[in-house]
Amino acid sequence: MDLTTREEGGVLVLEPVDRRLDAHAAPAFKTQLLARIDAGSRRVLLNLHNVVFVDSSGLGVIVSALKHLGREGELKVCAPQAAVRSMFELTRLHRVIGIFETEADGLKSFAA
Amino acid sequence: MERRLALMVGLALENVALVAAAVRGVCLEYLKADGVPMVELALVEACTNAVRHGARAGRAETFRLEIRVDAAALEFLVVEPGDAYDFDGRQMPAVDGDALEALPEGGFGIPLIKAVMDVAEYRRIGDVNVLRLCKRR
Repeated sequence: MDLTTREEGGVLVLEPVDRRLDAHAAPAFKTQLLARIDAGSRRVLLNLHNVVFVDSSGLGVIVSALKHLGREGELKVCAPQAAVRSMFELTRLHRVIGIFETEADGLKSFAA
Repeated sequence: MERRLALMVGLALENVALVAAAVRGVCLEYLKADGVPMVELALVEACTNAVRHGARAGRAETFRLEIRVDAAALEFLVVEPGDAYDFDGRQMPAVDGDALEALPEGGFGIPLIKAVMDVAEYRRIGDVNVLRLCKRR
């Protein structure tokens, strides 16, 4: 599981390179995600534009990261493909994780 | 005309992506394109559970996926050698943004299956679990 990492205006932008975030990928995804968060900003934007498939295990890792950040941190998601966005809506996690169409929109939301 | 396919799948999570590719291929042939991702999701969740249940029980090294296509629907049977479990009682976990620490990290799989398939039926037959999932064409 590879994650690219960038810092944009105080926001840690993390981008999974792998196309599938499933139960097989989830343990390594979680390890990488939490390690990058611990090493960087408490404001995190997860750019999912490469990801074509997320299952409940992949979603669980994102929830885990949100909880890991705690109330002093923020985690948002940007650029999900339609099927990935549907996962957040079906599970109602879009109520607690901000989802933005583009990375620019996501970054802008942190400044608001 | 009815068409059938059966796959024997080793009880390892890395095999689930292979099953997903097969399911996606069948669905692209017989469903409208916008319905394919949710069927793939349901089958990935079902097969992930089959791997976990089967590996935990330790009674076999594979589970079986049967796919049947007819004019009306796609039907999937996931037959796995795990212990019995409560399929019907699983509900979508509550998500409450005011209780961050209590947000669920799991428990979404079976409710997602129920949400996206037209039919989702669980039966215990002898010492195997049989999950029947259908999607109308």
